[in-house]
Amino acid sequence: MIDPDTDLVARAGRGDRAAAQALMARHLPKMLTVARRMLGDPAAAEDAVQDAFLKLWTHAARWQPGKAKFETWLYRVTVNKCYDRLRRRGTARLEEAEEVADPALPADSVMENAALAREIEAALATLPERQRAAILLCHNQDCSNIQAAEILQISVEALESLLARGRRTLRARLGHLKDG
Amino acid sequence: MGTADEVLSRAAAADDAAWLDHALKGLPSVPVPAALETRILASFEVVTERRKRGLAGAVDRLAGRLRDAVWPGVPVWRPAAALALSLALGIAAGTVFPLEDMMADGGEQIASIALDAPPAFDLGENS
Repeated sequence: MIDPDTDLVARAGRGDRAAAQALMARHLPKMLTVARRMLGDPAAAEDAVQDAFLKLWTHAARWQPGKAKFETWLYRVTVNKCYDRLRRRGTARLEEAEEVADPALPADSVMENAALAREIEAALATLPERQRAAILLCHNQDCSNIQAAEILQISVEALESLLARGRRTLRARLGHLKDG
Repeated sequence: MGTADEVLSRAAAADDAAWLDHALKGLPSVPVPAALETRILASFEVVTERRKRGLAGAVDRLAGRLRDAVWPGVPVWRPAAALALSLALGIAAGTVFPLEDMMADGGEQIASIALDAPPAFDLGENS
């Protein structure tokens, strides 16, 4: 399988700014989305993603194609940066996240969608970090189970177990949305 | 083949997965702030600059080691100047007195010694 990013990474490693810009345009939105939903805090998500890209620039010159798909590696770095921040932050954030969901928002459709999104994000925030990462990668980022397992550095069976537990928790929290 | 409960539970799990897929993909996309892009590109410039300086530093260190081996304890320019001067002298000498000219003027000497001739030198054995 040919990795579409190999050439860009090599050029970025040689100091090619245009290649760095192209890599950023291709991957930054996805990494920021994962980080934002892992951390629930825009500023922390931006810092995590910036750290991930800094690691990319530092390693680009030594990148060895064929070892791992570049995107898988970058997701892994981003998710690990998020884990670092979550561990530093402790559990305080979870309590705040639970308070975000407010079912009594105006019935206007835009507001309704925004409220729905907030409720889903709040439910996601209550998941343990590994379950949250697994759910996000598979259900939000379109990663296959194999790719998500590689990103999280676990077996596919372990990933499926994380997914099953995460789905169960979300069903319990968001069941009223599903049934309604 | 599982029991009816297992089949139902698997169907429910598949249904949950499909619903979750739909719900999470429907979440609004996260906009990328321009300031973040600028910061990330700035970090690229910093890393690239540092890497270049790292290469220049490696060349400096190599030059320093060579200088210490040739002429320890002096600035790099001195062994470099000495090398340049000797090269210039060599090239000038080669230009003024080309090797072909010296070979062409019949200046070669051929030594021939008859193997049965008595030695031309006396080490004092007969005295």
